[in-house]
Amino acid sequence: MKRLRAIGIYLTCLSATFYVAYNLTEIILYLAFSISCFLLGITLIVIPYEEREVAFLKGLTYLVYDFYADIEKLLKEFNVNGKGIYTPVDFSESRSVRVLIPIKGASYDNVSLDRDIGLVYVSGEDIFVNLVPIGFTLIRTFEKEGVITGLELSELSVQDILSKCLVDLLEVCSSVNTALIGKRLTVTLDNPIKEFYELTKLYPRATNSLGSLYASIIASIVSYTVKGNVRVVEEEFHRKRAVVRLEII
Amino acid sequence: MNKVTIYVMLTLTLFCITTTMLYYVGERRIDVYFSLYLLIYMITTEIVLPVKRKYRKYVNVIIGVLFAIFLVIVARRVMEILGWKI
Repeated sequence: MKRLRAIGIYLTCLSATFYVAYNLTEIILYLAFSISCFLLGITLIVIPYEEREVAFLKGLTYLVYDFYADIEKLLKEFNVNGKGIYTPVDFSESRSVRVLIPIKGASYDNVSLDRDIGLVYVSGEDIFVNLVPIGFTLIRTFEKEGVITGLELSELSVQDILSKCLVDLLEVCSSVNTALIGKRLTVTLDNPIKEFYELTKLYPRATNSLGSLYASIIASIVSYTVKGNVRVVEEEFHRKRAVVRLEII
Repeated sequence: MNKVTIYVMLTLTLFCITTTMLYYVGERRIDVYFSLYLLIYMITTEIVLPVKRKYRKYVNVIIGVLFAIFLVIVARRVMEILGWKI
């Protein structure tokens, strides 16, 4: 967009130069070039041109908002407002991640899914809402491409895998830093896409249970890679960075 | 190469070819150059330039202004042929 505007300004300046040259020399060729450059220059300056990637990203953001609106509605229906837990689940051939949100008095210290069952999951006396997190398809794709594999929980290995997924493949931020203290993992994203910041204000229940888009993706990836339960503890959004704090249970 | 780049390259190339050929055949009337530029501009803009529907009005304004200039040129030429003085 900026590049095209710059070309437009350049052509318009070139047009003015040709016009001055025509006034000095009265050679008709200069006037002709002046007109042609002006036509194209003014077109590039005036017409707003949105690059496909930008338009696509905007559309994708709206779809994510719709996803959160749906989850918000669902959680309201169940009257659920608790923190969700990201838990790995085994299928016959592959592995995936689900998010379990406690309905009433459910404790999730030792909760685990043996297989993917319906919307409501009952484990002893505890009842959970069983949802597909926002990083579900990403994990499946990354698994097929061999980007993520099971590994031991360490600061560097988690940072490496999150950098591959969030920076190299998704490009949702420019860099990722992780800090692991005990079972608490802090992930800092530099230059995240700010369009997703509004989610927490618009859908407080859904973001409290699942976390924001970033938290959901990170929690899903971490849960998948370390084969353990993960909970989003806290999130902070700043102008040039976002901080996601997770707890590995 | 995206569509806008193709549009800029194509339009500039056609403008250059037209200018060179007209100058080569000895054409010195600027209204002839302008008319051909307008023709090329309208064709390439309609066919190649990827303008979204909501921005279409901007293109229409530019084409409208250029077409008005073209009508003035034609009117002047007709008046010249008919021997009317402006």
